[in-house]
Amino acid sequence: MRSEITKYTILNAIKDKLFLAIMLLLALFTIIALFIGSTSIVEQGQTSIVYVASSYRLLIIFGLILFSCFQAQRAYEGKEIELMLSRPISRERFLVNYFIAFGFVALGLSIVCTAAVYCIMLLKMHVLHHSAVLTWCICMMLESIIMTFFALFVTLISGSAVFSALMSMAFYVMSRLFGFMMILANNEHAASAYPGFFKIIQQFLRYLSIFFPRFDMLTKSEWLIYGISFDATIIFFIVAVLFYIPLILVATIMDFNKRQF
Amino acid sequence: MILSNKLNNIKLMFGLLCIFQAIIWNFTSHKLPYLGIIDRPPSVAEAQFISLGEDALYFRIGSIVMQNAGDSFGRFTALRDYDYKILLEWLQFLDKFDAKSTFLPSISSYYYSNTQKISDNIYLIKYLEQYYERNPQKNWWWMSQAVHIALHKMRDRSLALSLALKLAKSDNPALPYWARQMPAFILEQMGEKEQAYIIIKDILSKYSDYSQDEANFMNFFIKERLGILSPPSAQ
Repeated sequence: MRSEITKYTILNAIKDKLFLAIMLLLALFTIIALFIGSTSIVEQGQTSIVYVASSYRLLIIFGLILFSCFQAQRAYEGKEIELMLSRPISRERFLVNYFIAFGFVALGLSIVCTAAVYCIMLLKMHVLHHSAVLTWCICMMLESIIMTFFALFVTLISGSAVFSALMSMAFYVMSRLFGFMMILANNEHAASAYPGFFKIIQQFLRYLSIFFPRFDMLTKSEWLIYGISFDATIIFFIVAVLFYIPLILVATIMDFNKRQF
Repeated sequence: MILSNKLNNIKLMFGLLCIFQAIIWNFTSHKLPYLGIIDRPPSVAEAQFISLGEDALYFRIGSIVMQNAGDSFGRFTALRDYDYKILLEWLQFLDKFDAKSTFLPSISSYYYSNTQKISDNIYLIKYLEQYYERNPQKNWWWMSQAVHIALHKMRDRSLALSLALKLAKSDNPALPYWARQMPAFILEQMGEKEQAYIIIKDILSKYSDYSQDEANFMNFFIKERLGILSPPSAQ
């Protein structure tokens, strides 16, 4: 069943021209990044790599969000989910398989994206930091899988592709910014200077932060240029984000079990 | 018949709207957006929000903007027209996003220092000095550039001397001898030959790992350029 759903999802991605669109845009972004990098007076390679890595990340994430939202909505409206559930499979198992299938697409695109970044690094950089590329790749995979799962989660709850796409994009932006929110939440000087309302905002941000993965600590393109010094913080953040995957899955299963088909 | 009349009316209306659009365009096409040379930088918090946690990308975008400021959309702006005070603010601001890159000291030393308004170079020297102070072991080259700008572009020997002395005082073992000798060269130009001699003599006595070529040069400098006939023997 898992392989069937995976094949079905990959076929849908091909049918939706997801891979074609991503490849074309990767090529376009590469050309633009190399051009902008070449206009730089110094550090041309570094400039190109930063542009390439950042634009690829945004492309993959937003591409996967759009694909997942519209794919899940179509599966709902086209009764494909009902058809799959008519087979002898539990709802939980179906959902896990369904998520894993989308996870494969996210993984594949992340690997392609990292390979492209690595090829450009081979061309443009004198020193290659292999451990940094590997860490960047792992973080990219995690970000893309979580965002794909989150998009599926919101779509399966709301049933609207547009709503869930916008929500997922907002969630991603917030997750990339939540480090700064935490600075606000932990700013004791501001809390003492503006008691009352600011305290409420701080508490609100603190509780809100429980539900946001800290993407601001992951997939930094500066690693590709200067390398990465491994410490417990990075590993801790990777593990913390890793735990976010079952959280989304369980939340979706809870909602899915309440639905009537 | 009614349908064709209606279609004709729509076509007529479309034609009139097109003419109206052309008339409006005639007035609006001359109103161009104002392109400044270089605006004040935003706050760090604002920039961090825009960067979505990707400081390196913000830095690279900012660097390209800095490099091409005033020269975008086919314009060419003379460096004397730039506000170097704002430029310094940008250099200090972007440094907060990538402290390791040498892009900013490079464009300061090799590009912006070519301004026709030579007094503006003081801002670049200030920046290069700050950049050096952040990591003297690694950034000594940029301090030597500050000395070069002060001496050859601003022609301010006393400023160049104070910067060169600061650089020469560094206990960085990687600092080349020519950088340590810089105060002597400036003092020679100022006519302070005795002081220049003391600096070279100090280097000769303090260090012993210089090459024969360097020793020969120091002897030559003392004998030929400073005119002191009996230099101390090197090595």
